[in-house]
Amino acid sequence: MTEPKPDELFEAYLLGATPVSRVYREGAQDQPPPALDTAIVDAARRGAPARRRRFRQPLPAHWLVPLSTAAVVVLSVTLVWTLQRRELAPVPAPSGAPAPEARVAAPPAKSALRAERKADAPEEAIGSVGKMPAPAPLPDLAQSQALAKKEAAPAPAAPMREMERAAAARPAAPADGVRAESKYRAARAMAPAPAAQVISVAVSGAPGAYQFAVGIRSPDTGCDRYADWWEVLSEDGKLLYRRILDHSHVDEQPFVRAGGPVPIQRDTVVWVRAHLHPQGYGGDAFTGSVRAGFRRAALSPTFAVGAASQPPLPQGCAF
Amino acid sequence: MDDPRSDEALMLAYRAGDARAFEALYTRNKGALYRYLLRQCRNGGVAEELFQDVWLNLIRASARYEARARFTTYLFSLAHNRLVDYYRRQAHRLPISYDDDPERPLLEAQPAPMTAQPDVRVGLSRQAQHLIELLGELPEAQREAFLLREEAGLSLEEIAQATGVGIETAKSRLRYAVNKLRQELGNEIDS
Repeated sequence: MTEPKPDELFEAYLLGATPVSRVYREGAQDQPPPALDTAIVDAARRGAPARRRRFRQPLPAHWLVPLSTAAVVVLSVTLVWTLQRRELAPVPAPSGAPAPEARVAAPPAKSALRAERKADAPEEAIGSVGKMPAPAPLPDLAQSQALAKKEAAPAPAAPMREMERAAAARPAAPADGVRAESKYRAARAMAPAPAAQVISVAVSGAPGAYQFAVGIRSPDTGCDRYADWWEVLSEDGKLLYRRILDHSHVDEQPFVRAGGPVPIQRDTVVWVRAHLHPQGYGGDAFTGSVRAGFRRAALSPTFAVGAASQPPLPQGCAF
Repeated sequence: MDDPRSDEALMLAYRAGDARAFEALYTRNKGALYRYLLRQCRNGGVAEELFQDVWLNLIRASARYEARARFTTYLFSLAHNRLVDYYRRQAHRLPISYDDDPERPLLEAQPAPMTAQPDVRVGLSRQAQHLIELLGELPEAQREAFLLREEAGLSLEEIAQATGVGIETAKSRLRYAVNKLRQELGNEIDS
């Protein structure tokens, strides 16, 4: 019996059910991690097109003309009123007045800052807490729904808060303007090094093998500076799990990446922190347990710093 | 229970706001897409990143989705584009295997793939493990054609469409992959 020619074998393959296909399909078992499934399906729920479209539905045609007319009238009246007030306003004194730059950069009222800090306080919900930036036009892929509801304004990073405090100290009185400006500039100069911040932690799965979905905000610029992993540590600093991030996220901030299994029990208290290449640790971390939930907490950059040289470590940055 | 609707119907339902339709669509296609990316980039972490990116792109583009082709072809064309972007960012160019031309077959002279990490799972038969190893040794473009056939169930025309090449090029890549795998496996698969 003669051997079939390669072309005949290929035609047979195209017809299906050849040994190559059978053997390949036997080995085709890999599946994405469950936490990834949850993250993607959640993102799809938030990004369902019809829900987005509700905000874009055009007005009925018979409303367009009266609304346009009303808008023109309101704008015209406002413009005339503003111009008249400007003509009547006294001319400011030439000396002692704050510089135009200072007026533009005037700090928010202290009460506003206090309110912002209050909103920045740790939260206690299980699964996911923390602050995310103002909603993007489309949802971040893996933000949990809980996060999406809680987010109203960007969470100021630690250096930004320091700068805000200095900015709040900038008085309106012209006599103190120079001193306040110096203080502001000094605080800005002392701003800590950039760091990767953990902004949310969501957990799923079963004891002994939990899946973590960790939200990170990091000042990525490319492979020269990017968040290269997040990790879970015991209270005494033992590395329990590390999720390597294989590329930078310059165009996707903040982002969530899932990983696991993390070998802990429901009551095990752990730290979750992120690492920035090449700066190291130092950003906001989260602490808690699966039972009690996770919340943002200050963690010294020197806590278990030796973990940075423990495997697994990144094998390179894809982009 | 699996949703009886076709992939295209599910995607159109999602476009109309039915989030459950997306779940059914995702459940049906996630394994094939994940394995396609895993076998192509040969790094679990990168595969997960690309996998997320592809679904995010799909969600972003869903408002403009029209069932002009099979959904699977559409999904894997998104994946192919994402993968090409990954190759370009990683090495600043496409792997040389994508430069093939059926009029000037250079397949036998092509170098080993960019990465050659072991990609073997425990619990598989010796044959299946060997096949996965051999698959990793194929040039990327030929491996991709094989994966699109096996994982996505695409026809030659659909493989060509998803990868942006002519049918002859797609056929040439797939033929090379199948023949190479069969040749290397030898008696293992004929017994």
